[in-house]
Amino acid sequence: MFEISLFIEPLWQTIYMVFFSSLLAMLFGIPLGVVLFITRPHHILSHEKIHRLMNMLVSGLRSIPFIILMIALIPFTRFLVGTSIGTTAAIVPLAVCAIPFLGKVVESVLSEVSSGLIEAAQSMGASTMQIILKVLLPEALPGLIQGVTLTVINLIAYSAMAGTIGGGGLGDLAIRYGYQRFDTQVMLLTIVILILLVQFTQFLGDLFVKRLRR
Amino acid sequence: MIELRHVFKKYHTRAGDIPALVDINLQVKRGEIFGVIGKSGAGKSTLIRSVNLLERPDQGEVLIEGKNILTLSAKALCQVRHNIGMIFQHFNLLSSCHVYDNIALPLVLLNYSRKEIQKKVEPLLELTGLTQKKLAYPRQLSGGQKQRVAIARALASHPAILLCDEATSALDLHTTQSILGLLKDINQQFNLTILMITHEMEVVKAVCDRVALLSQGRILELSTMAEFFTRPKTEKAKKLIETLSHRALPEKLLKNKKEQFFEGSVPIWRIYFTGNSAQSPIITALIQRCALEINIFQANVETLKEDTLGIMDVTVKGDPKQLQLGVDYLISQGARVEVLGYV
Repeated sequence: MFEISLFIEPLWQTIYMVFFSSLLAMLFGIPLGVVLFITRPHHILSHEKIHRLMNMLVSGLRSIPFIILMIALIPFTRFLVGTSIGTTAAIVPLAVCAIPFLGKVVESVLSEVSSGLIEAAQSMGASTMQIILKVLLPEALPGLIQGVTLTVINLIAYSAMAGTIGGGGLGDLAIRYGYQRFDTQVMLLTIVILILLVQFTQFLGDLFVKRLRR
Repeated sequence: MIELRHVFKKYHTRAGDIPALVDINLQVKRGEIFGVIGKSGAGKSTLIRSVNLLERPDQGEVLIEGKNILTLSAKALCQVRHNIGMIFQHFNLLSSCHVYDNIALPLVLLNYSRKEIQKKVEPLLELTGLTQKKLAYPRQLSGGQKQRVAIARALASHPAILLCDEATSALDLHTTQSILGLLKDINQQFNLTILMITHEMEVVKAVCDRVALLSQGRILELSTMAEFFTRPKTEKAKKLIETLSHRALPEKLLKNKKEQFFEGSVPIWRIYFTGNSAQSPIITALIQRCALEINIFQANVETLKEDTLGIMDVTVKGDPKQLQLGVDYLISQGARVEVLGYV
């Protein structure tokens, strides 16, 4: 048998990594998505060069498998956090992976906002910033929340790989006990916890969306 | 108030350049309701969107209250736009906001305080008959109600100009009438200058003071309503006005009609009556005084904003002298006769 306390720390580590990397993803991913969107050709801040550069960066980052990205980013992580090992260090590659993902999702969510609405705002004399803050983002809010939910769920999945750089977490626990020690029970319970975590995230996201849909 | 001077606009497509506006010149006076009518693809939308620079002309000048807005900075342009309200065919309301917040949007953009906003929005709710719907979301409203919200929103910053981009085209006949009534009201109440584009002749007839006919990016005709319908200056304009007003001759007559007189034929007249002549018994007089035999096959009285316009298509039997007498009499009564052909 095992002690339930075995799960406490890994669960906490997972939540810690996912929470902060999600926060960073939103902080940078949403503005990135907005910029990607408004610099599109014939858009409110149309700028071909910036748009193409951003797009290239985003698709480039998204093509790197997470486990490789994590290792490739070690010098960068060390520069930011001071160490490349540990739970906090794992937040860096997780965020770097989530930012372009969320950016791309945000871009596509924003493109669902009717262009007529943007035009109406322009006709009212709204500045570009006002269009983004008062029209685009409020109108796209339900979609944005769905995008963030999706990102958080992705991050929960990716955080399982954080063990590679000593980040700990539930995934790491499952690999160490389930794979390396053939302790199926621990692995199964980890899976159950992960499923609950993902379901809970989805539930929260859906709840917000339902409240907002009009 | 609004003036376009030598405005040109081209669209660049893969198939080559398509001229959307060609040398547009027009002036809309303060307090006037000016209509621009044309088929779809005539350039109407481009024209109205040039007035607040949602679309930038390639050449020419756009003057608002005498100031060329094409040379303004982005910030100054925003200022000008606060003075020009606009409503759209598909309303373009924020679906995430209720009626009140939608109407408040232009004021929020101007950084008004919550109290000031309330002071301005409440009367607009009343004006547009939306007080009951204050907290409803656009999804819960009918098309007419949505357009009322859009009108209230367009008026929130007290603009001097209102642009209507096919504002009634998505609405049914009844709702169209009520929206047009509202536009007429606010035009009078606030001395608001209204520029509207539409493909519906009925709309132009109901509210406009003057009208321009647009075809392939050019203005074919620009005149007062009565003149527009009774004596268009060019043949092309006349044809287009007929198509747009569904005023073509009946099928059977059209088939047998010849341009020139032939043996045994009688002329088809189209008689336009305006003002007084629309109300006097002209046909009776025509039969009695000129001894003409008259067969009416289509007649219509249209009420323009300020005028009544009667249009009657008839065939007339009589010798040339009598016919001439009839034409002279009609002209003396202020009517106008056009020979459409012979059958």
